[in-house]
Amino acid sequence: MLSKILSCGLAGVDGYKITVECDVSNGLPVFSLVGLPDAAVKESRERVYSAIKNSGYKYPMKRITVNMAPAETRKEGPSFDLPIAIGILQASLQIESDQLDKCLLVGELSLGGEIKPVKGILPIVLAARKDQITKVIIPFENRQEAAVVEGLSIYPAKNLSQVVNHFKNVSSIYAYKTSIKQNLLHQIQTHTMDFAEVKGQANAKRALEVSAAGAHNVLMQGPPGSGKTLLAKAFPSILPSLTLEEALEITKIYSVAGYLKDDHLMMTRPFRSPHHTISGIALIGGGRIPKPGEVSLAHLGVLFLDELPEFKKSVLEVLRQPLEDQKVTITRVNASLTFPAAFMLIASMNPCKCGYYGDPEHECTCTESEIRAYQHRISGPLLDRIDIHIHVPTLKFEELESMQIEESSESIRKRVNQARQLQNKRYASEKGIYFNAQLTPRMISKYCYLGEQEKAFMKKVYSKMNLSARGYHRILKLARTIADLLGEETLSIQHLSEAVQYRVLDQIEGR
Amino acid sequence: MTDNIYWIWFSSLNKMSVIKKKAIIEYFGHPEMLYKARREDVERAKILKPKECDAIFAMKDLKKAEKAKHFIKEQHIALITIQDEDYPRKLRTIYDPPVLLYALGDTTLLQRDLTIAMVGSRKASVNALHEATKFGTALSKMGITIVSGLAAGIDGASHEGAIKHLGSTIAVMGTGINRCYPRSNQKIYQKIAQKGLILSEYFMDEPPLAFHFPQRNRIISGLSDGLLVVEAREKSGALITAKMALEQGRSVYVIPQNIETPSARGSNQLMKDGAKIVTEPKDILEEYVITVEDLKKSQKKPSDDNNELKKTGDPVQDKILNYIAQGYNTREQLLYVMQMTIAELNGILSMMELNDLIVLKFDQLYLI
Repeated sequence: MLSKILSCGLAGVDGYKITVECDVSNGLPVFSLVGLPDAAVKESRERVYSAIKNSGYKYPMKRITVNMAPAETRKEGPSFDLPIAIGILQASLQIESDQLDKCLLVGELSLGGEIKPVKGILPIVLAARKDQITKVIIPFENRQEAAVVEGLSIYPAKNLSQVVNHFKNVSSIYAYKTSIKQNLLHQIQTHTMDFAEVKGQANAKRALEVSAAGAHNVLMQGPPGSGKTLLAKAFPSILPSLTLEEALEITKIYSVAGYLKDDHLMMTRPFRSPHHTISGIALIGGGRIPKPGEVSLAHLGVLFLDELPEFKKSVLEVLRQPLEDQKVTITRVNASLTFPAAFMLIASMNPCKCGYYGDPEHECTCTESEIRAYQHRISGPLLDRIDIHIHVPTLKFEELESMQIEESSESIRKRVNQARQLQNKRYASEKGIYFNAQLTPRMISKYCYLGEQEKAFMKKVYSKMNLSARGYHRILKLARTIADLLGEETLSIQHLSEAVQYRVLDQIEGR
Repeated sequence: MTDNIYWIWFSSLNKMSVIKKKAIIEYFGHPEMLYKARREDVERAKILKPKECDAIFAMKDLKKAEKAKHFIKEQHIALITIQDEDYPRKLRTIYDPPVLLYALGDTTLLQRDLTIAMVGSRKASVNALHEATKFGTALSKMGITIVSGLAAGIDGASHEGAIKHLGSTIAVMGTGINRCYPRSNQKIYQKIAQKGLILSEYFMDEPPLAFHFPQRNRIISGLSDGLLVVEAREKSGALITAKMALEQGRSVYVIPQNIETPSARGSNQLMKDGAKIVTEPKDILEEYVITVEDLKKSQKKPSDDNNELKKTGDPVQDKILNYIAQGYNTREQLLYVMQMTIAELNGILSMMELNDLIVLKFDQLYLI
């Protein structure tokens, strides 16, 4: 007899429906699995055999054919164990239920019949909702993650017999529910670092505030030990809170990559700081069947590259496309996948090899050409995509020990949130534009309108500072964010002149 | 001046010291004689060791010189030999004068009465760079020719200052004359070639070898009446030049710099050793007051630069200028004394930068 079970596969960070067809017919006992299964899927046969037997059911000693449609996409992972097992049981008439064809199943089986958690539950459940499937059976341990999707019933199952009994109406599994709204409200901000703990560095803190408010990329330059890394680590604590959609998007990526902790929704913005020995593939994503890389794992959060010039040049250059398009498309023989990558880049670097060029206290031991070579490791096109450049100086002892009370991240975040809301409202009509950093030159002339006085000021800046057209636009975008932080709609000289302070560092530009 | 092919060939002999070159010229009278001399004659002169003789005979080929001659003509490069009338008078008096100079630009500068050399660190502090430009401009405005070495940092800034207002300047290179080193000084090299003079004792295309630079320093000090050290590290090339200047009987002047600055330790040491301290351009001029007649007129002008703090008309900016002058030269310190927000301070600093009141470098503020 033939049975049809719904299941779901993954392409990038999106799920797609797969129909698992089982046919049990008379003949020599053979198990054949078709529909481009990979090794893990092929091994299903052994797990399914033992699981059925050890759960007290009969494994039919007949010719069994399993097909996974659509046949042209490659299936991977062990999440088809459960649908195959149920399919075989139905085809051998051990289950008879009219519920089965409305239900989507995923899960890995152990030899004893327990159902194990699988990767990518969130995109799978989201895909199920899109296909108007109302019931989903998922591994028990994935229930938290699955339950954030509203509008369909989630049945978490612990073992195979529980599922069989559910369909036989012997004993039903209870649908699992959780209130995500509540979860989000109770979002605990567990940041390890707070801006109040960082002494001094008012300029760097202000620059990071502007960066958080307009999603501008930042490059921090300074001698070793000046606190660049500390500032970057405290940075997530001033980022705007997540909306539900954003949380779902981030969770999807982490779910697919298998990095989801505690099977909860991702409640905080990701902060990724890969080591500088990272390869281009690890940064951007890849593999035979492409997996998301660091840029995608930092989606809607922060990608922190410490010691930027120490990264391989080829690795840094791959950042250019995602910085521009906010997504990466990875093409391999088996698939061409697009992962979202709308991250903020925070980079830090020393001004030279020894680290003390320009430091008033230490003497720099590098030659002029060494300094130039060091700064040349970062290409112009990459620098062009970084709006804010700041110098982080070493603090004197008195400044470190000062008792002055620093502003807490909480109160900075309030301003940032306000500025983001203003931007959301302003760019509601522009498709795909959410914050100031994304503005194109056309939009800059529309949203960064300058009065007569301001124009005269910018003209002076333009000629005095030898600005390029891009540098000019950068200042306007920053001024826009500064005005947003103050809740002001028109740009004034005050905003522009502050923005001028965050321009490209001279020693880099004039290299 | 000459375009003699044998002179060009002679200058390409790089295995021989300057002293020996001078002795050879004195003995033979002309490089052509050396070229045509037999080996016994050269050995009989007892100037050169056999190995050096070998080197000469190995290089007896005029092909390179021929090429160089063609190039010199094309580029309007002049050759000045020690036997020429227009060989700089002051340079002739030193112990080891170059026998031949390649010159690109205005060769009349070599006959000027008053020349001052300016040297200093390649990685100078912002203040020192500013002083170098200021002194370069002020001194050249008084009709003094500025000599320096076209290196990065102080050298470049001195040339820049001198050439800015019709002033005259001479750059002495440590490479072949057709090679600009460091490359970052390309612009100023071209400017000097047009308006000033570039000198080199090395053959065309000679690379920037380390020993060239102390060697060319003797020409810098030799060409000038006095040497101004703007800022020098310990064991730096500028100190070598100062030593040579003293050996050649030239005066040495030093601009005092902050005693904390590591890049000024050498120049501050020179002051301790008795170099004359100068804080404004006229301090140098007064030493040569007889030579420069219009001293009285120009004396007033440069001293204007050094008066009290500038007034901006804006009370807040005045206050900031005041604090910077007192040594509160980071944003952090200014925030503390001014009691304002960083956003406000950054705005004001931009304004002051635009109006040329301050310079910001590595987050340190400097007055101009």
